Amino acid sequence: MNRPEAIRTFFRSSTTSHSAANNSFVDSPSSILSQQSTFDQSARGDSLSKFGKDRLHPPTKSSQALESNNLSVQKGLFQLVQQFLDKKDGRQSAADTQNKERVYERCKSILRSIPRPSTAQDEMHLAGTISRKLSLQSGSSSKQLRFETLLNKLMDQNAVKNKWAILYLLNELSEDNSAADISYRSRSRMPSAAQSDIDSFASQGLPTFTSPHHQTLARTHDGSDTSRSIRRKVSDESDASMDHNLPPAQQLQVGLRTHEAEFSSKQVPEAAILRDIMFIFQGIDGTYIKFDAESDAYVIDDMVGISRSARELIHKLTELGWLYKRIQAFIATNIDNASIGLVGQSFCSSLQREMNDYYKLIAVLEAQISKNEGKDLTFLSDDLDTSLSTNSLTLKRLVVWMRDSLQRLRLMSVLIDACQDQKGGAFVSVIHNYTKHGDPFIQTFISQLLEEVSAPFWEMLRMWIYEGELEDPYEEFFVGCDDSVSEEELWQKKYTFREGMLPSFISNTLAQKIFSIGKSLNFIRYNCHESAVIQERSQGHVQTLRYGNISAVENSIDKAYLDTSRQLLNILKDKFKLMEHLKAFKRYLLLSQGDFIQYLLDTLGSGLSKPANTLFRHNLTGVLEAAIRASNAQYDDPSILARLDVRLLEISPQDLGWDVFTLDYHVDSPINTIFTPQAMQQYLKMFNFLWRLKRVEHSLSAAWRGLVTSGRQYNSIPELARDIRSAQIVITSMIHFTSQLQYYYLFEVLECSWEELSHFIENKCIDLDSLIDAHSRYLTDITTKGFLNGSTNQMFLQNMLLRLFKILDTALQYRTSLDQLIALADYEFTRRDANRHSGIDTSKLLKIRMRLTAGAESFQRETLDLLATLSSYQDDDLRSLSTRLDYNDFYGRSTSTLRAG
Amino acid sequence: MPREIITLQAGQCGNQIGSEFWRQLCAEHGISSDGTLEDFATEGGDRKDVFFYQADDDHYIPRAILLDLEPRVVNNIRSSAFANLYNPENIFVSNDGGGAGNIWAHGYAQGEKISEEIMDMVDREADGSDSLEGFMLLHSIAGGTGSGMGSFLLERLNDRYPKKLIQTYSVFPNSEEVSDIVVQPYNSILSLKRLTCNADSVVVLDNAALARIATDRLHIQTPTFEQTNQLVSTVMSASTTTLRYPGYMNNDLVGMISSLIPTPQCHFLTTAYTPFSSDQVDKAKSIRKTTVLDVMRRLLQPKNRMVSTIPSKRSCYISVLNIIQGEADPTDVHKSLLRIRERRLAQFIPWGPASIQVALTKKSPYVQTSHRVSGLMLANHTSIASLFRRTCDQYDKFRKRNAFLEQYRKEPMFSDTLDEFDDSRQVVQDLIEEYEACETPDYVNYVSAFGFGNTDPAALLTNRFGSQGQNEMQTH
Repeated sequence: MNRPEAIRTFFRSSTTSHSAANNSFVDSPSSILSQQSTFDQSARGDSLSKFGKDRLHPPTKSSQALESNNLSVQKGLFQLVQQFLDKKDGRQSAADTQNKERVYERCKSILRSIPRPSTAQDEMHLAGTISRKLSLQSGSSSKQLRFETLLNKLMDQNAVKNKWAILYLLNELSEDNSAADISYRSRSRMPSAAQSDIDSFASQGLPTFTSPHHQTLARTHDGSDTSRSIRRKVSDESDASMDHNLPPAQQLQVGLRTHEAEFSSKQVPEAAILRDIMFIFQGIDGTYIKFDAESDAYVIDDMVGISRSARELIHKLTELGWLYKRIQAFIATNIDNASIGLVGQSFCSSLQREMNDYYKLIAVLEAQISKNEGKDLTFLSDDLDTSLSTNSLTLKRLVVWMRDSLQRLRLMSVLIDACQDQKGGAFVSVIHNYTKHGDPFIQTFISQLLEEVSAPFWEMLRMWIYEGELEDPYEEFFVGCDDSVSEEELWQKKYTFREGMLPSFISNTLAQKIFSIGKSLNFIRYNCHESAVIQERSQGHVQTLRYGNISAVENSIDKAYLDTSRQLLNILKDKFKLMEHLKAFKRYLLLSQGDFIQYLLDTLGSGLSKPANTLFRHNLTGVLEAAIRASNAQYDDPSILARLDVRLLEISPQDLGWDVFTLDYHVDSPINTIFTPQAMQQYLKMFNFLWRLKRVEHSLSAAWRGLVTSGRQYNSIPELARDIRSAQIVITSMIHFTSQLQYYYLFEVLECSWEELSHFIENKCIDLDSLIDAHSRYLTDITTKGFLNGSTNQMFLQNMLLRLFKILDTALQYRTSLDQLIALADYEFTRRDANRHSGIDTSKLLKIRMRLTAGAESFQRETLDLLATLSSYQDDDLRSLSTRLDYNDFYGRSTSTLRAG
Repeated sequence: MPREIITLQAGQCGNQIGSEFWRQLCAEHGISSDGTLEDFATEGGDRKDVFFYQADDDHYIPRAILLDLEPRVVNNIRSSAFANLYNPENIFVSNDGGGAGNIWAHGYAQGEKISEEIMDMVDREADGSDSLEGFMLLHSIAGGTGSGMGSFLLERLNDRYPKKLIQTYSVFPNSEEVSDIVVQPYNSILSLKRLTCNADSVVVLDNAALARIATDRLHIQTPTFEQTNQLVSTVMSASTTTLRYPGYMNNDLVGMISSLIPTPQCHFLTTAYTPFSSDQVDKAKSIRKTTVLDVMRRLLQPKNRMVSTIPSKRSCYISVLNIIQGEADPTDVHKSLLRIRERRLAQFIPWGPASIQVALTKKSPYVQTSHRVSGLMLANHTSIASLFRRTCDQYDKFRKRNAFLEQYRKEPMFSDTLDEFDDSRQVVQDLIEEYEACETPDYVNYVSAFGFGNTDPAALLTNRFGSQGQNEMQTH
């Protein structure tokens, strides 16, 4: 872009904003309405004649006192106002007239104010203002630098005069409309000000009008605190105290000039110092100013004639040099140093970029200096004002110009210190902490820097959450991967969470989600072998993650999290039949497939009563197969049934088959992530207990059946009537006990927890972790409530379990004694049937009777003990068990009668 | 091994409730009227093989034996939509078609005469089962065939299959109304003896109560037998759900009744069901919220009980099993149990532990009902004795005058002596006393009269010869 074009562009963009400002200046709700209504071509034609009719209009009264050209300006202005505000039907109300007047006055005041700004005609000051504004607006130094280049070129133009005016115009044009709007409103709230405006205009006319205007302006801007109005006010005040003819900046310059003239004799020329400083800015020693390694600072040769104030300034400026050296050294050592990690390297590169901006600035300054020198040689202007305004670069200006750079360099240096020995997420965290600075300049600078520095982090994050890859050669990411862990344990162990590497702008919950997303993706890929899903996903996403808009990041992470988790759960549920497995566990290991279990009990019963070492696994497998075929299990998914197996636990001497037999369910990847070995152990524990309970129930109901069905025959043996009867009652109470215990396990332990689990999986489950949690909670629930496990009250639970086992054993022993009784009765029955001869084996009967009585007594005693223990705990589950076991308060009563007796 | 149950339906009433029962089972298992599986019946989880077996062409055939001494009801079944469901070899109708004439003795005697044929059927069915659990007899005790032949069957089955369970669904006559069968007290007493001595579990269904429920709960002014039979079939299907939908518990008959029947003689179970709704009567649809507690509470109310008993102050439950079907929340069960205990809604025996057992079962997915949860209560309650006492009272009135005994004397069993009557009366008396003893804490030490009984079936069998046909009357 060549220069005129650039100016034009600048101008164009500014004018648009300016015209917008003008519009809003006029716009009040009513005027907008009227404005719209006058957009009619016919109304425009006779606006002039209308003007003629409105002779009584106040501004026209004073028109005779003005010169003719003023009059024509005014007339034209008024005409314009009329054209814009007149309604097309020609009707005029008093309000319209007033409105028109006010607008007219406003226009006049604008016309008056533009050519006479109150500021000093100082190009450099103005340029400084603009460049500061640019840097504030854009937040980066690139625009500012470009402006300075353009400015330099403008200054070089000899053909263009009145450069200040151009700059001023451009600046004014770029001023946003909000200030104008505010001033308009504040003015409309002050009719008296408007009135005085009109008065002053009326009495003095347009050309000579100066100081009253200042006053009104000052007044009109009262209450609005835009920088412009304050500046004006300040200049107004200085106007009042000092020479009215000169603006303050010029006065100051004049003072300085005279002061410097006194010391000029052995002075090092400022230009030379500036040159030196330019070198120092780049870390090179100058002629007068050199780096002193000892004091780690730049020092000025004492002998050199430099004024004290200048020394101060130089000292300030040399800080830049010091910082530059530091930063440059850091970059030089680290840019190729892989060990600082990707984030560190990106930090170096953004430092480098900042330094490039800095170089550009220095280049501009150097150009300025050489121009200065050229000017000094070629023409000495006798006009103080022009020489001051064109003779641009001085130490003081340099200090001002370098202020932003200094701050940047300082910040960079601070960051270099802060980031020592940090890398990755921690590095980013450290930098992020500086964004909390109150200074908007520092905030924006750091934020921009961070955007670049954190880029590798976001890239890693992107890879992780969309593809599940960890591209983290320097361990900078907050997710770590342990390659030694097998895929079997991928979910639990492979990935670790590195707390320290978590950037502080990512909350812990968000981080957990991120962690889970990647883990899920890897799980899908390596355990579920569904990489197609991931491919699809990673292609579908173009969402860019970057620093600065954390809520957007959060959103896309949330979305990815939900997507991934849902996908994973769906894969587990659909492809890997998670729910079916859960149900299978419940059906087979928790015995809810009653007919299947019954078959096993029916068939295995006799075999399991033999010593454990007589059992062979292959026989049992055969029985298992048969049980599946004979029960409703046959309708189950074959892939599920294939996992079902029998196992013999470790055999210790004297073990019966019952003690070592167990069902087993094989799980493989990926569902073994949920059915972990610990979970399997809990299932087996539960199976073992329920199996035992079932066995007792089975045995007791067989005994009952024997008593009931063949009991009819024994009616003919009166000697046994009493024994059989009491046995019936004892067996019934034992059946009651076991069935109530089973009901307790069924409802309170198994079904309720299952309900909870399936409800959770159906409705609340969001990711695999929550699923695993829910499942292990389910297992803990059932084992704890089932007295098989418990972190609290271990002793008590052990005790409970032992008691239950004891009671069940008693019941089984009773069953054995009862079998003896039945055998005796059978013997008697057949004997009597044959020869109708009575005479029972009394000694045998007495023995059996004793055993039966003892068994019944110990059963009752143990049950009472158990109930007493249960009632001593205030636990709902325990209470519900005791309610069930003694629903009609039979045991409760017998305890109290025992006590009473 | 499905633990099969063979159903024997004897007499008019037995066959009528039987056909309703099979219709209901078919609907619940998705079996069409000709025994083929409906296309929609794909959801597993139910066991059909307890009550059905599959023929070579995969048709489901009920393990049912249909017995009657007159052809009317069986012919109705044969001409109904379900005609092809049954195994025709399992249907026995007496050749002479005369029926038992509502005389127990005729039914019994004819049973003896055809016993070989019947036992052949039974043996065939039993051989076709892997692990026969037992028999289920459906009959009424008031008429001739159901009571007489039913009694004979009980004795015979007991003899032949001593280790198998025998459960009966016995319809008791409506003792509140004057029956058209004059001799029903005789029939009842004689049947009761067999139910007491030869059955393991008797589900008592009382025509009086069934009619009352039909009137009160279903708003049918004059319920037909078909309608009351539907009630019975609902109860029967509900009481067998745990066998047909295997769950953690109560998967076999022995498991179910062993917890219900502590001593062998006290094996008369009453039932209650809620909520009743009838397909025929729209008004019967109750729009109520049914929770587990609601159901359990209502099951304890006398108006839902299917037996009309007169409970005394000492009457109590020996045991209770609630079978709750549908979407019941398992967490509600315990709460409901506690509530019932708190409110003392049920009184239990003082001599041993007893409680309300609750079994939650699936509801058939193929049968639509308007309520979420329905419940059946099987209860062993001592007030059942009042029903027996009433029967005894009626019997005693007749027996005092030796009224209407001619027909009985025609059979050899009664031709010489009426001891069988007195003996039966004694058995029922013993039963009543047993139940009364059951209400006292001392029941544990009670020596049952049955211990010294003179009820050796073998001895009784030797005395019986011959039979005579008689005209049959309405047996309900």
